Amino acid sequence: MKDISQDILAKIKAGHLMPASRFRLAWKSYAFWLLMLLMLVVGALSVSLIVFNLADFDPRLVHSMQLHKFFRVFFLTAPYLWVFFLLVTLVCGVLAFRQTSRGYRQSLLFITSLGVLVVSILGVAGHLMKINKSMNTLIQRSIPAEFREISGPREGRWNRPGDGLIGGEVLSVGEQEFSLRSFRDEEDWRIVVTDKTQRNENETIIVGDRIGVIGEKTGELVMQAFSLRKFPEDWDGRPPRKMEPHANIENPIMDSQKNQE
Amino acid sequence: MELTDNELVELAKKNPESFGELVARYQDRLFRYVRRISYFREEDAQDIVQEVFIKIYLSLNIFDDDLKFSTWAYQITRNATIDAIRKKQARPQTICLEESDVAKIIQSDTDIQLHLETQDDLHKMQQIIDGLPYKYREVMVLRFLEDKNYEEIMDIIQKPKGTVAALISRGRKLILAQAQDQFILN
Repeated sequence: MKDISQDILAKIKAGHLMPASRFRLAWKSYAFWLLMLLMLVVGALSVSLIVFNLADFDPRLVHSMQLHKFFRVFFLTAPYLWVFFLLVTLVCGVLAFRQTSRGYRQSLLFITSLGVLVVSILGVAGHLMKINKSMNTLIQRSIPAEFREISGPREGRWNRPGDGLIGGEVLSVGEQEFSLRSFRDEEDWRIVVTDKTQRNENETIIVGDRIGVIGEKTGELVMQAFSLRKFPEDWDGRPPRKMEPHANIENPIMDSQKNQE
Repeated sequence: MELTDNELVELAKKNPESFGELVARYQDRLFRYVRRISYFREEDAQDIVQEVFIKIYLSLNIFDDDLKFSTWAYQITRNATIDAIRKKQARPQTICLEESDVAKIIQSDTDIQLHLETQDDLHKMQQIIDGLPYKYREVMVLRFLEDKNYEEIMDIIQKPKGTVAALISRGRKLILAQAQDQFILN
């Protein structure tokens, strides 16, 4: 091959060419890094919302329900929306990483595993810091009512009397039973308690308690309780509602209309 | 004392004359590489190499010291060659490696080397290597003709090291299998 070094130099000089700035050359790589970080954050939030929506699933449920019922409820009320978001963010995050300047060096398996690990750690941290709770409140308040069941399946889980799950507020307490107003439908249920009913030791049920009952529907609005659990005081089993104006606040538009009349 | 590639890169950022030295060092190697991985005629290959050097010059600010300059230059050359192949909308099926190139690849595999007896066998091997799928032939060229190690090949073809190792291994197996099919090997 003939020596082309002088031709190249001539071209560089004739075209007044200069090496381009680092940012101009690398902006795509920076953008992909940013996208990857964003995907990790969204993925971590999805994990924390998955944890939030599964946190009330504990071994007691398996104990108290038949295994097939447990799996039925689990699959019917799993947080699919957040699992879907998690998968999408993981795929996008991995693809974004592969597009960075050195992204090709790691295998797909390694990047995916690392992504899952990072997202899981951040997601659990988000759960411990209760970020997921605020997120859930915010999401449930903002989205249309018909999508609430999908975005927050935890609430619907405790309104499945056919599957032996009902949650509500205690209205009155008797000797071997108590009445419970269900969260979702506001129906009054008679909950029959026996000596075999599992509950936390030293835990008495009083009026106003928010309780989840795991048992078997034995009649119209009657449930035989196998296990009882108290919900946190700040959770009423319903999706958080939109903020409504306080009743005492006067509405200036309405007032002026009244005055005109 | 002769300046290293990295020192020349630093100088070239301020003074294009220093870039001429880099061009002189790498033009033959890159030209040969383009010819080995494409079907282009000498003039076309030369045009590609010229484009590559202009691109290298414009991209000097992004050169990463973690890589060897030669690896970076090969990476840019490979991408430019593949772009050129795509533009011509043709597959690089007709590259013809020199007999000496074929011999070099064969030397890397003692199983084949021991069995080659005649000039006709060597010619058949040349056809087998030429007929390999592009992804295998490319790594074979880099490994056995350009003497690049696995790390360098990884950076040039921008694939993980495991993939590079797998491609080389499969490429060798393909050569062996086809050589056996054509009765070059028993």
